[in-house]
Amino acid sequence: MIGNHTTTSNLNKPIKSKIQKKIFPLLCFFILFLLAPEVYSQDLGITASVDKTELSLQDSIKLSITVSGVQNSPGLELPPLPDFRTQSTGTSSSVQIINRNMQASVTQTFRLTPTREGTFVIGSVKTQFKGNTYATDPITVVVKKGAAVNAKDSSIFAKAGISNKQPYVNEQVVFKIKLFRKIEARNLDIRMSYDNFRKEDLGKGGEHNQVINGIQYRVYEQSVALFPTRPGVLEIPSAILELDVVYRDRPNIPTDPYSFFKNDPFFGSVPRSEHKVLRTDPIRARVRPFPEQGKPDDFSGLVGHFNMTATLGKQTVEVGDSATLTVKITGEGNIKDAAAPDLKLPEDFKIYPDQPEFKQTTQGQKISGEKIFRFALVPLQAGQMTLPSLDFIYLDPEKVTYTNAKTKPIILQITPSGKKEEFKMVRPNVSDEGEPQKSVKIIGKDIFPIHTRLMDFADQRLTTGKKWLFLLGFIVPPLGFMFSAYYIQHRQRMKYDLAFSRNREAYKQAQNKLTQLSSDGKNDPREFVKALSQIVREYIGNKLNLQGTAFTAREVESKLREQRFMGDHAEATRRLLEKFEAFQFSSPTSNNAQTSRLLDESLTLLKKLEKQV
Amino acid sequence: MKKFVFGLIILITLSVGYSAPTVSADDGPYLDQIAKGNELYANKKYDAAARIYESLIAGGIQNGFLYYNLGNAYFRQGKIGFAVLNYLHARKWLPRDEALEANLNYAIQETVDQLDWRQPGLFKTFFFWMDDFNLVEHLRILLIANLVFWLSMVAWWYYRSPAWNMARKVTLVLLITTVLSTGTYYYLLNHSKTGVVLVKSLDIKSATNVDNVTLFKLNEGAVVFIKKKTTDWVEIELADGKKGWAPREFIGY
Repeated sequence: MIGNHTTTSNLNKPIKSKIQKKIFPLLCFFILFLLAPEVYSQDLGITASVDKTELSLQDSIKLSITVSGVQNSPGLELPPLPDFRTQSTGTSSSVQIINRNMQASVTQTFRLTPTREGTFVIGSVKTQFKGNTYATDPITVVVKKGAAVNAKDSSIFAKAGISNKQPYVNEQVVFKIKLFRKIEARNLDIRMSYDNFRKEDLGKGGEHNQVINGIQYRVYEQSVALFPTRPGVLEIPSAILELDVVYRDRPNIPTDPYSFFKNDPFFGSVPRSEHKVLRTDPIRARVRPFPEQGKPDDFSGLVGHFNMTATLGKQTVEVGDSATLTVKITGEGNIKDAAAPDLKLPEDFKIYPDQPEFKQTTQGQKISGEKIFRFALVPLQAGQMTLPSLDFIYLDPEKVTYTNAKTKPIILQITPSGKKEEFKMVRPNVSDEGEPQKSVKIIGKDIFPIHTRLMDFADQRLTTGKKWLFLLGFIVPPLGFMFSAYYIQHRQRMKYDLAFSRNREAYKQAQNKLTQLSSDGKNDPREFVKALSQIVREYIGNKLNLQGTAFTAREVESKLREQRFMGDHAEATRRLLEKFEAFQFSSPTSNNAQTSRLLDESLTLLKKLEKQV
Repeated sequence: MKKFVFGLIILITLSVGYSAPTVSADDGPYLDQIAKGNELYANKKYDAAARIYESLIAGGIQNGFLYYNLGNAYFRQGKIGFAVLNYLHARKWLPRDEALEANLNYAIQETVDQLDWRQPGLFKTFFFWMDDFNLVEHLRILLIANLVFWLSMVAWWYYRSPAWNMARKVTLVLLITTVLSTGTYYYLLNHSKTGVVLVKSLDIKSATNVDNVTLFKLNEGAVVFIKKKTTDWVEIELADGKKGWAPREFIGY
């Protein structure tokens, strides 16, 4: 131990001095850096550079803008780059001290991903500093289409497809993008554009393995639901997948004893990443118009499979009161486009439509859902009214037929109003002077009338009594659980723990048997005492979990003492058992008085023993 | 014995949970007053009707329909601020009443500012059902969740099966959620007040003095959220984050 301690201390010394040596200049540099003026040289300059001037659509350019002479970037003004997707990839700064002159610069880098082929000019990047404008020289880059990526010779490629190349307008098609890779990839970003289509997400993408030409690929798959919005030959443009491909350089030195550490990223083997841009082929879909044959005038424009139901909140309503009519359209397809149904109600109703409620779900790769329309209906006339059935027509793309979804008619009983407020179209009128007037002006909208059912006017306050009742309602269930838990546990123990159940049942059994013995009225005193002795022995056997009843009085006393029964009780038990034995072998002249004394003695002893338990 | 205890627990919980407020013989006098107020209202004597409703509320009666009728009486008089205020009071007791909701929204549409009365907040986003129940209903739901949890505990204790184990965990989550939502509702009910501008136009000041800068103006019926109160002033906040002080007498809450 001492040796180890010494070694450690010795090792610490050079380490500490090394750290101090390194930290000191760093600290000085940091202080100088903080105290240094913002501009280190009057010659502020800005330069732009790219890592390549010729690239394919599968590549991206690294554009570096370096502003020298400043510590912090003064803010860059990038030129418009409509043919590139621009991403900032970071900022770095450097400070150099050469011959006591400090030179600082800030470099900001951008990743430019071309969106089409051609020759483009990256215009001047500008910056403003102290009233002066500084600009970089323009850079010309050439973007070529690049070789098509072949699945056979590429370690990473992407494909896209649609489920139906001849859908109807508004019919759902599934557009699927697959990324095949044999190598590690990170930071995947997929961009898709769908002019002439409405897009709905089908959830997150998933990964699986697939073997193509004997090569196993890891395949990332993402699907979206598309609804064509017009007929004709429509093109889904290329999807652009940007990602960083990770290459791990493994040192091919099998004899190297440290190869394990070198391969482990923790020990210094830094993976190399390369930014890649993949494009899928554009896809053409021939979108068919709605079939003209049998097309009704009131076709809803919905394509898929749908149902419609209508329910009324109340079947009976007073004049002036409201009842809620709920119309629910469910099914698969472009349900989002479902319009509110025309209620076709007589003028005896005022209708207050609510905002529709829409819930969308995805089942498999199908978009389904429900759209709920609610209307508050206020009848103005008493009597029985039938709300006519509602319907809408949709196109079933599989059967290529127009189908009618219909609800059932609903009968509504409208009772006359009691003493209700006159139901008028009114609003408060405000004079130009700003003072409210008492008169009202009819404009066509109104508030609902006052509530008149007196039984609803009970005081709703939370009274002290009710508070206690709530408290009780909260406390009683856990107490009930505690009681039940104890009861259940006790029952289980009685069922499975024989010693416990014998112990608990011993006294009850003995009492029953003693009662039966007394009522039997055996004439032979010796037989009586024999039975009495048996009952007491059984009781003791049950209490002490002993097998059988063939134990001597001395053994019983010893067992009782072992079980921490009081010495007096143990002794009394022994004496009683000895009396039983003596009685059984005594002369047959024994009388009933003796037997009843023994019975009383037995009862008293059992009670004493039971109490002690 | 076990059945008796169970029966007792369920009886207590359900009796508290399902007891609806009903009128009793003691309610006779004030019900007569309400009937009288309704009668006056039907006869277009809105001012007199409002006075009766107000006197009942001042006497300690708390009932959603009473506030609703009072709101209507004020609305008919053109007192939009008082109407909105009483509709908001009514909503505490009748959170799902469609007629009330319609009247409140209509009254707010009639205000100049048309400020939304729904108070935003993280809690209300998380416990989205919170505003759909009143305090008594929240407590009833809590009691039922409590009963269901402890019943599932008993069942799990007895059967010790994975299904009941799952059931008790699910009901525990349900109970915790209910406790949190009820607690949050109770806290917001007592600490987060919604106020209404009761005067035609009100200058909102930067501090508690009329000489201070007017930050913005609000009009009658504008719904505000009260953040602080002093003897004469209240600090109000709007849904868009604007804050300021207003004289206490001009803000109803």
